[in-house]
Amino acid sequence: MLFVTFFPHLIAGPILHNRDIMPQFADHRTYRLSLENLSVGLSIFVIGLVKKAVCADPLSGIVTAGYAHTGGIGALTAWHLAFCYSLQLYFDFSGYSDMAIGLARTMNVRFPQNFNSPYKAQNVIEYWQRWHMTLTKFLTSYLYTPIAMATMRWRIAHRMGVNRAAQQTLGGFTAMLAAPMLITMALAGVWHGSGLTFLIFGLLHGGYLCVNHAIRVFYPGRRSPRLSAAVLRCLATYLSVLVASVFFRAPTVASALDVLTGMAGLHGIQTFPAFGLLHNAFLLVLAGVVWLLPNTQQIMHRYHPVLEDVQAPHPRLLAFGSDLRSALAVGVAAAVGLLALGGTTEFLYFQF
Amino acid sequence: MTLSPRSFLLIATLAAGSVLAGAWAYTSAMRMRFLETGYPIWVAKQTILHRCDFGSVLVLGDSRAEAAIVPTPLPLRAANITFGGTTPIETYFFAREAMKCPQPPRLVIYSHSMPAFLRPGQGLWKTAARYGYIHFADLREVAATADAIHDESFASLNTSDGLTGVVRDITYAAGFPSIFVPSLVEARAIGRYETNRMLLERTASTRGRVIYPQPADK
Repeated sequence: MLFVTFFPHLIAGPILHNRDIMPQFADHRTYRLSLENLSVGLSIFVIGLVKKAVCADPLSGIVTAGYAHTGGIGALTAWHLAFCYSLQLYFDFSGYSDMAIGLARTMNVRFPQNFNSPYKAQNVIEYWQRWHMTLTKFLTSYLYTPIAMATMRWRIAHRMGVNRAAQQTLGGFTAMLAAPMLITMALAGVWHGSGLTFLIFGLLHGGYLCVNHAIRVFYPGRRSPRLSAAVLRCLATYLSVLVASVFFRAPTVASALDVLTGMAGLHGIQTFPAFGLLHNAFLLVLAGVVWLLPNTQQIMHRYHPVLEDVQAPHPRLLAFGSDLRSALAVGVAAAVGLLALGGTTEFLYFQF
Repeated sequence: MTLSPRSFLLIATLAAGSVLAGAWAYTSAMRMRFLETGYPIWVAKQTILHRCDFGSVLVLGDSRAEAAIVPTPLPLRAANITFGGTTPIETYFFAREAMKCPQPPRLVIYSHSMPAFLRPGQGLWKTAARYGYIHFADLREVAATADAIHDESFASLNTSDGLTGVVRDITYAAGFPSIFVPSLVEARAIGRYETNRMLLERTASTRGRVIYPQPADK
């Protein structure tokens, strides 16, 4: 009963497995007030609140208005719209996950990590290991693996190979990797909503993952360690995700295609949307937070914020500690988060 | 220096409280500097109402009457204290205040467009309460009356901030600074003073008559 009614994760995750949570509920120390967990939990919650109220919500009006009128959208406007939505979704959902993790921590419960800087991923496989991580684990355990195992059993029964060499044949790859992946991601897309746009979103990601696995299987080799190569991989991954996110947000397939053809320049370039210097500076700051700063779990790593091990932040200066600087930062951030609630919208993931 | 969890929480709370108190003080005292152009119009008209300076004719209602009824050429001293976007709920409170004056108006012109009678609007909180002219007790009085006549339109009305019920009434009546943040950002905190001062003077000189649209917000 407690597992089902433990409220912090109920609205939008992380998706909990009883294996992770029941041992914590069985520990009598969970039911005692811990001021350290309270301060750590509230600090995580405040970071999530700032992400949601300060970073994500101001973009909501632009995105809603933009997707309501997509006909003949110019290239710069379309890119601006897609970029704004990708930032809104990131800060909204990661902010919500932080709030859930922080709230649970105030009650001495650790949740699994759900976000690990997904836009820093250098390929789509890695992206799904960083984005809504608990959903990925759920999909892997309960959809992908059973389908892949069933395929393998069928191949064994028909005296077909299932080893690495068999995977490197077109038939083996299609049966053991591509088909289970496409089915899983199509179902994952439909899990988010019943429209055709969500199915296309899922199939697009399924396609990306198949291509990514095909490169891994057919062209194994070390990735270039150079920074420029890493940046290019990161950019390519982000652009792929960006294209799929247009289907995720657009109300209809037609409007998604409007935005995508706009991004391709088929409706002309037009001028850059006139949102002013402050808005553009705001987008730049958000992009800096996404790609250059450590994530919440890394900032809080000294206090083991989630069930998994977390890397220390870089730069170290951003590490959270029980010191005056962190206390003041949390206090000011809490006030700023509360003040920014004036124009709050619903959590994007609330509907899924 | 490492802080104990108790000290950490105390310092964080004090820091949050200080920022909120500073924001609250600024948004209470400096509204002319950042609020939208509706605010100085309200200030000018409510000043007329509080001073009982409406003469013999008082015009109550919404934006149509606000633009159409011109007090200054009338043969009697008159004042137009209509407000764009208001409903009969707000007007009821203004009329009640006018009737408390030592010399109530001899003639009241009352003009609301039909849709305003059908349902309450967000303006009750977003302007009347936010500008400080409808108080917590007034909002609760409306809620109690709506309950008594089983009118659910008041309780079910959603404002864009997501707040409802008593929490919303307290937030707006107390002027919690979060309800001013969008205006603060739009005005860069101080950027509307000149426009608002000019509108205040103009509305006072026309005895409350206002023509829309107003000069664009800076």
